Amino acid sequence: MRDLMVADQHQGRRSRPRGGFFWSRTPVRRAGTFWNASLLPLAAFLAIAIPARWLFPSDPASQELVGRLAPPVMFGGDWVHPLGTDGLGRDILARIASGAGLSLSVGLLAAVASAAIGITVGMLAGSLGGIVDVVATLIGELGLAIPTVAAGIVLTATLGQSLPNLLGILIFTGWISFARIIRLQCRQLVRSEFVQASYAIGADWPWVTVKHLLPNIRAIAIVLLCQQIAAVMLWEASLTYLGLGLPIERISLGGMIKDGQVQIYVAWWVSLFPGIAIALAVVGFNLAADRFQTAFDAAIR
Amino acid sequence: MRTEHHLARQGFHGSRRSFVTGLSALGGTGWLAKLPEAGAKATDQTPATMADEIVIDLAGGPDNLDPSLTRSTRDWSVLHSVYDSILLLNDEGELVPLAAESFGALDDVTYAVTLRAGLRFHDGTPVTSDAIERGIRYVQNSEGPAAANFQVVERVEIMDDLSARIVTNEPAAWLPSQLAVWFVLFPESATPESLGRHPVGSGPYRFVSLEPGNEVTLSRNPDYTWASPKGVALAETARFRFVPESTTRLADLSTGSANIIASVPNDAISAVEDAGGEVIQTPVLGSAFLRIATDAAPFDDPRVCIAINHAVDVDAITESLLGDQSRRLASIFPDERSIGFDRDLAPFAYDPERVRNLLAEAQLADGFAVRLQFAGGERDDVLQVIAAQLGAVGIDVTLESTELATFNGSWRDPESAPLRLVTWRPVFDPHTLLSLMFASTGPLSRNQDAMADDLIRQGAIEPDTASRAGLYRELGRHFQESPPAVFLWNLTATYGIKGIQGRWKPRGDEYIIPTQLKDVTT
Amino acid sequence: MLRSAIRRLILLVITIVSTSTVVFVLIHLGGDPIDGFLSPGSSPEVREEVRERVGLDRPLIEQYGSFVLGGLSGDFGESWRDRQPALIAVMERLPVTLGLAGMAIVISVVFGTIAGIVSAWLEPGAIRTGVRVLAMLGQAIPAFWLGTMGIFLFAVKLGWLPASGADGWRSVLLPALTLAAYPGSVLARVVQASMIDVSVRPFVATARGKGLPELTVWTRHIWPNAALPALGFVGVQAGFLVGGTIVVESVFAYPGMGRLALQAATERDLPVLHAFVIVTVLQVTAINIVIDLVSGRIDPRQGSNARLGAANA
Repeated sequence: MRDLMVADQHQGRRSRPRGGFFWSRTPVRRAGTFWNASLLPLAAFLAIAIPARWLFPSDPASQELVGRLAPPVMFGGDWVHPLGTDGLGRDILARIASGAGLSLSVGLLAAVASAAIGITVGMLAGSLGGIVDVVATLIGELGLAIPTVAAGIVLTATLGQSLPNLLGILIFTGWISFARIIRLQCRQLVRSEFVQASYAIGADWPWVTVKHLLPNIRAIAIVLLCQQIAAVMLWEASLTYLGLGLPIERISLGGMIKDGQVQIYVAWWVSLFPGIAIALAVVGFNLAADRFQTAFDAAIR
Repeated sequence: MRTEHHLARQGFHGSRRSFVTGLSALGGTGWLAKLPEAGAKATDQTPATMADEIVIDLAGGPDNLDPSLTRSTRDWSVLHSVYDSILLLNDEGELVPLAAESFGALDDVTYAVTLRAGLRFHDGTPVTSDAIERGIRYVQNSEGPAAANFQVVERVEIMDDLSARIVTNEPAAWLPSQLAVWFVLFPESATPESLGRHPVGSGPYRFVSLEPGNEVTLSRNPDYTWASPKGVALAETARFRFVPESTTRLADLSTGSANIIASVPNDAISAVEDAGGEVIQTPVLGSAFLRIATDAAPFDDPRVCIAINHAVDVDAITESLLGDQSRRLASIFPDERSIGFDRDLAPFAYDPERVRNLLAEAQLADGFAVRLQFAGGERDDVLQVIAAQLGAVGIDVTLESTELATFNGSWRDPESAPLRLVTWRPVFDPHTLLSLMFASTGPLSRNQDAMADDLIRQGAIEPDTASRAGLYRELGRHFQESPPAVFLWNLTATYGIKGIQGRWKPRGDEYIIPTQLKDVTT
Repeated sequence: MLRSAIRRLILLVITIVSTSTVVFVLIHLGGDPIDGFLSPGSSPEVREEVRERVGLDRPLIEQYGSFVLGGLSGDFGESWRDRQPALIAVMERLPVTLGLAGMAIVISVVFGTIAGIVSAWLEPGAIRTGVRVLAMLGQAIPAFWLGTMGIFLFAVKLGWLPASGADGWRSVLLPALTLAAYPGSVLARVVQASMIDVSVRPFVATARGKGLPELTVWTRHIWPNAALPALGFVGVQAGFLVGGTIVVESVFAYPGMGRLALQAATERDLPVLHAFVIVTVLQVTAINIVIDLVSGRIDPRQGSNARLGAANA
């Protein structure tokens, strides 16, 4: 569908796009600036999540039972707690910032690890073919057959609920998305004129991989990475809700929604704002993925 | 019931209206505010007629109705609606004869039971005294939670069709309370399979069907016509539905799909009232505490155990999170209905100053770090408050949520956390709790206390109830000088009711049995 | 056809064996499995009896062998807790879960396709933006949150639908809609991208150049070519749907397999857990087989490869 085979379009002048690792310099200018409104949601989320500790002085863990379930400032509360307080009187905005940071870290870690594993497997399978491909495809289909939640249930039942276990579940179910697509790309790339020519003049497989394959898959890898971060953040929230994800000692967006559900009829804000934060992150990363995709497409045409 | 209250709205900031207004602010959904509440038009039943159906939402339910495998009070609600035992714990905390006409001790090791004449099982066979032996043997030989409690029964002697004698191998004055809770009467035709899937008993309801994971349906037993202390059936059909999410239970009440909902969270009380229901909150015979492992430092020093009891501000917790039926306990005994409850024993007061002095005396002026373990699924917000309170006096608490299997396997494990959250019910007769958790040889115990062991043992074999109460009161005082636990609060149950107002009253033993006492009509 | 069927069968066997192995290893890694369902106060004699009854006293290799064989033959043994055959416990609830998942698939395919086509076909404007935003949100809102909001709106406020339970078609609607939100939204985006992609290809310009009416161009030329990758994508969602039912069943008190699994997980009821995982794997595989067959019929070129490489959006 989205063909990133660059050799033909560039008439053999370059085998890989010009520019730095993440952006191509020349073509982007033609397509309009990379930075546009579609990146706002992501920027908003990152603005909350990253500088959490410095921007929000309210301690996310400090409880004040007297002031519990205070409404947000628009609905009768005051500016000390702009988004209200939760069931133990803790400031929701501070907790969202802290939880967003954790959800983001978990998301990034899991997605990057999945990417590393998935891209490696995909490249090996796509470029080497043969038995490696068969085995890799087999393992991939095995992984696909077990839904994330089922894996979560089994793992939590046996090894307990913890951050490493959660990461394990997310990586175990996440690497396959990368592997499948990268494998397909590599298969096409390996058959291209350029790569065949390289082999013909005596280049060996590692050199071909680094010089030809990697640069050509980086674009789709970035797009997939953004999408995967979004997906992982959603999964983390769902798993935490079921009691299979982050343990309660840590502040997480999924955990906040879960805690706030009990109070939803009297204090809807406790669940709503973390939900909005998650949605913001997911929408943000998906839009960013779209933006990257458009930019890379423009680079080719 | 004298301890029942109607709750006034507790003045929460939020309310349904502000939620709806909030939605409107978010964009054009103001029309929600104008729609009538679904189900608000439900008419109240006239008290004189029997309702066709009563629906009860529980926070979960049994897949298997075998009495020897059933553990939670929630699941036992279903079983005690179908089965009758020989004894029943009434609301005043007294054991009264149920299927038995009389029950008494002949001597230290013998109880004489005479069943009422004319009782029949749901399959038509008469209830005879061999059912007593059957029931006791079944529990004794099972793998369930109660098996250990009945090992003390040596034999059951059948005197005639309706009378029997239960002989124990040592004095066990606590046995009758176990009979009320864990023992049921079932007919000869029962097999383990039929007990699990198609129970036949002699109680106010007959079993109709079980859909695992969904609901269980019972129908009124037309032969249950005698003046039972359990009451008479409220409806022709009773359905217990298993609904784990409290918001969903609340929605069911609001739409009229359920008449009684169990386990209403404190914060949802105003929502229940908004939905046209009534909230009843009652103390149940159960208590909550943090078990302390006194077999290792720093808790082998009683001063530290006393200090930590003074460090928790239980009143702040009960006021804001648990409702006004909860209060600080002086010991493990929840209230007057529990044997050994001492109304003159004062609970530990919240006293940070005293904490600091005691810790200084114990060479721990800089405080210390400790882990607090709890089984996943327990209420963690109260634990977070406790952790914060202890942190304020220098005791640095790390909360550990453990999944159930590991939790159950590590009661005596010296590597497990020294503090552990325990909620225990029923605590009518404290013997089982004490022997399991506070006697040094108990399978759930990490307490090393010779005097406690002594008193617990004496309480176990003392035949006279008044003397036992005295022994337990002495134990309560001892526990204040050398606390094996941080005593917290008594457990409460909160129910939402709609459509059957006034006709059902909660029980102190927390079983939800859809009956009403004959002399109570509105 | 036959070759692909045999291949699938072999894959299924391998999947069952490896899944069983993983479950077995994990259960035994995490401490004594008995503690999950046995009461903490049980005496050592009772514990011994129970271990014997469930077969935990056998050598590990023997346990593993019979475990895996059981997985393959469908004999999962009895639930440790209530001694009912584990497979029956799971199969009792399977129809309910399948019904929910099936309805969700239908809803997500119908709405996702329509939304995707609409947003690709319309000129830029309010409706198109609206549809795209909706798809964006549907993909981003966690199912359990959506479910609770749905209960509040449709059950409590409007009273149109029941809040819980499984009597009749009305009680499946809200859970199915909640479950369908995510895959439907993703499908909408995939269909949209696919349609746009196909619509700029040379053969479409040719069709237009021949003077064919726009509608015919879209329905006869663009749609069939765009549909195929989208179809492959539905298969990918099988995993999500089967797992998502657990979350939705929790919120709506829907009596399916998911809640049984959560319970078995808490209690470490190994036979039930094992049966659940295998049945889940079978479900996912079955959905994929159906998708493969349908794709194979629409376009013989694609078949199973479409599923592997399709999700490119």
